[in-house]
Amino acid sequence: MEISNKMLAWLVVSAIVVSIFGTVISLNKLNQASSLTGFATSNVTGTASVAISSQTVLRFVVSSIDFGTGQINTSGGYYNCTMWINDSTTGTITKTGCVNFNSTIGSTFTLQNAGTTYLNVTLNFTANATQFIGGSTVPPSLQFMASNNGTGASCLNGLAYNNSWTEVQVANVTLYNICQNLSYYTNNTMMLGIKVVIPADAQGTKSLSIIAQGTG
Amino acid sequence: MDEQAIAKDSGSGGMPNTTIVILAVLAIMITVIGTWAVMNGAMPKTQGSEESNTNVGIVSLTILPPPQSQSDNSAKVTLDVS
Repeated sequence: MEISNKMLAWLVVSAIVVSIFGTVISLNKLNQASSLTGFATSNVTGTASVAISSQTVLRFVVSSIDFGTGQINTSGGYYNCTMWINDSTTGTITKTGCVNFNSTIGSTFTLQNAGTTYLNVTLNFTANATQFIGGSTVPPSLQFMASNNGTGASCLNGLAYNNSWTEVQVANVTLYNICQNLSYYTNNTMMLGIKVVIPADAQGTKSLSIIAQGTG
Repeated sequence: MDEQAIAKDSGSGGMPNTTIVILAVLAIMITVIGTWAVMNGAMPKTQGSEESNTNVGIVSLTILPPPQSQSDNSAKVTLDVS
């Protein structure tokens, strides 16, 4: 093998440079890590330190509201069917001008902070009333209302859209900040009520997604 | 044997040049692989609380045509009294 001493020297120098470079990078990265540490911090008393990262988990405990199948009671003189459910109705759907449809569904939407840090919660709807329900004999309506769950205050700060029904505006664009500080212990759930107004000429199977996002 | 011939045949301490080359290349490869392993395997993957979590709820319903009124189904009787 025809390799000069100069070439050998370059290879050795390269090995040394790469080794030093890798060692420096590794040491820097390890120094930045905030994972488990267990070094004694005193010559007298050993102290173990541990850094626990917070976890952000927001989930729908009750993730669907199915109003079922039904009709508008036009023979009874109604031009629309109105249905709604929220935390105060304890699973019962309140209906006016409707024929059939479900009467109970167990519970309205329930959001839970299942993580280990307070959450800022926002909602986004994939459709507004016109897109979701349609019809024109009366204006269709899709509304929501947020609330704490029961008597415990789970939203510790910034509870909004909780005093009255709010009409969903532009789908996929408008963000509704329903709580700025959702607790993660004891009372960690909040409710979301839904109200729909269905015109007499609306028909078909309808589906709508509500996207809830929690930021720690 | 002149100096050039000695350089071609052996390195310092009499070790062949080929062996030195292999050792040098091995040193580079081990260092690179070791560094990559530390950076990709041993480092914690998740830190901090600035994460977000998204969840989806579904609202659904099916609307049927309005029921026909009683008047539509009523029988019509015409009496022709002459």
